[in-house]
Amino acid sequence: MTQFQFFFLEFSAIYILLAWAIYLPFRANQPYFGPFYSMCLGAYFATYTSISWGWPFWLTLIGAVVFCVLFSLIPAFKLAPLGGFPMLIATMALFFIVQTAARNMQVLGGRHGLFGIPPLPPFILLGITYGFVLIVGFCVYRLDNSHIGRALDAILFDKHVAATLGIDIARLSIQLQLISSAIGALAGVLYANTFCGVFHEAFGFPLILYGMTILIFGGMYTMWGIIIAAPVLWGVTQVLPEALKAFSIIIYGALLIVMLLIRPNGIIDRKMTKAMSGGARALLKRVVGS
Amino acid sequence: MVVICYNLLILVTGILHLGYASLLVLSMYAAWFVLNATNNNLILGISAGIVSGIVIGTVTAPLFLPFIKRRAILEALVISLALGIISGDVMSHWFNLGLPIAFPSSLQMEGTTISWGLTIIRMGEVVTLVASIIIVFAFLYFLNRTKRGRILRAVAQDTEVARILGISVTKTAIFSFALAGLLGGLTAILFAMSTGTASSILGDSLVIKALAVLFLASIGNLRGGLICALILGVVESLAMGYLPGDWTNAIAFSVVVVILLFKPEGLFGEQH
Repeated sequence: MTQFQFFFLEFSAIYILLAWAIYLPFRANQPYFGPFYSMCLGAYFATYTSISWGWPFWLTLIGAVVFCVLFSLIPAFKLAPLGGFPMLIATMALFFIVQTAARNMQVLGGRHGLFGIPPLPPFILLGITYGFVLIVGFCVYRLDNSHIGRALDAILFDKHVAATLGIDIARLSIQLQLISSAIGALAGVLYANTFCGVFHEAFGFPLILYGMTILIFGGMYTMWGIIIAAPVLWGVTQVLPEALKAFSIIIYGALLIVMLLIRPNGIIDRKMTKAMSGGARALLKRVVGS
Repeated sequence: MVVICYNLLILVTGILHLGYASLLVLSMYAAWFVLNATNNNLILGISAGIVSGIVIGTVTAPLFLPFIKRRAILEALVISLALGIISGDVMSHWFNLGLPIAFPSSLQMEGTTISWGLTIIRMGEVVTLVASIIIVFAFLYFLNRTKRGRILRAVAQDTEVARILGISVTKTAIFSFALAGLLGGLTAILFAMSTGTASSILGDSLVIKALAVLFLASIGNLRGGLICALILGVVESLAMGYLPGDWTNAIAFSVVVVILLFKPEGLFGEQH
């Protein structure tokens, strides 16, 4: 396997995980950017504990997820009733506080970053990453199609109506924030292991742009579009001619704007998934019938 | 002035324009470009900064209109974020090989200083301060005493009632973008006069501080915004003086987080 193929497969999976982490709170109209700072915290936690304390991969992973969930728990209770603008701005601010702290703390490598995680063999790392993609994807799918998913739909439609129906919006929001942060931390640990370290510049406005573009391009209200959008968007910038590669951020930004203007529900929307599942069911019936 | 522009856009269009500060810095780059091309002709350079501000504000307005009509705040915010990142990237690739730009010393009136005891102030800084005060008062006069200003305030107060009264909300939104662009262009020139340099990441730092002041004072409170800007300025200066490294942005963002979590209506806002 070439290095390009490895990075393509690995980053596609990491961005799928990150985009699912953003997708979950968005389902309930909660613009929660916690996965971004959780990814940053998770990556730094895994790198630091691996280099300084010699923790093995699985211990760093569990530690990072627990650490990020606890970190997100503190603001979660206050963020839950806020929603909308304040939630987005507060979580974005937390993201930049974490990034500034990483940049300025010498113990975390400061401006030079922190490198030196013992490398995992590429096939093993890919296996672990895609294993997590399957597990997280299954959980998100089950959540989407459970009574919680229907509650999220009700909140998205009208949160006042949802509250009247007896849905505890604040509690659900806290739960979503924590799940989302855990997935973000997972993405961060895998990211750090891919590079055998971490660098503060990886966590800035461009990461938010990538994450949001994948979510909006794929489709904000289904989990399936993300699976297509992540590899396509990451791959497109890699196969661009060398002269255009420097403009990948402009391309992402332009794509984001165009998608929002012409197809705000993304390439795969609810209607399409319903039609596809209806078609698949009909095909299955015909096959079984014949 | 930056906070005033944010307030204007939020109240009239309902949009938190995260890319506005980057677009403002783009006006600084336009002024720098014309100054370079015209061998430091100040009148042309200043005009280019102001005109580019208005043009950028007006040209980007249609991107937001569908979302303003639908009150799709989140989508509009994402568009503004994308615009900010695109303009930052344009500045870092297409101007001055991505290096920070420097304005001519004549724009900052570097030769002339005012001495007062141990304090020495450059004339450029004095002009910036005086011009800022004049512009803010002129804007407040426009907002409170003219028909156009009253229309803006009516839309800001209640969009639906304003629509029933026959006010075109779309036209008012475009006008507010153009006005924010004009103020942005003027701010860009004053910024160039006082700092003398600009870089593609200046917008990020500006938006952080503007958001901090905006939420600290509560959205829409101009007087509170002025007081909070001063408080934040003092806190940042202390942080720069006493803390190692670059923690100023983290301090501004910490202010945002603490205020949003514990007093979401801001220091000068009313609890609803």
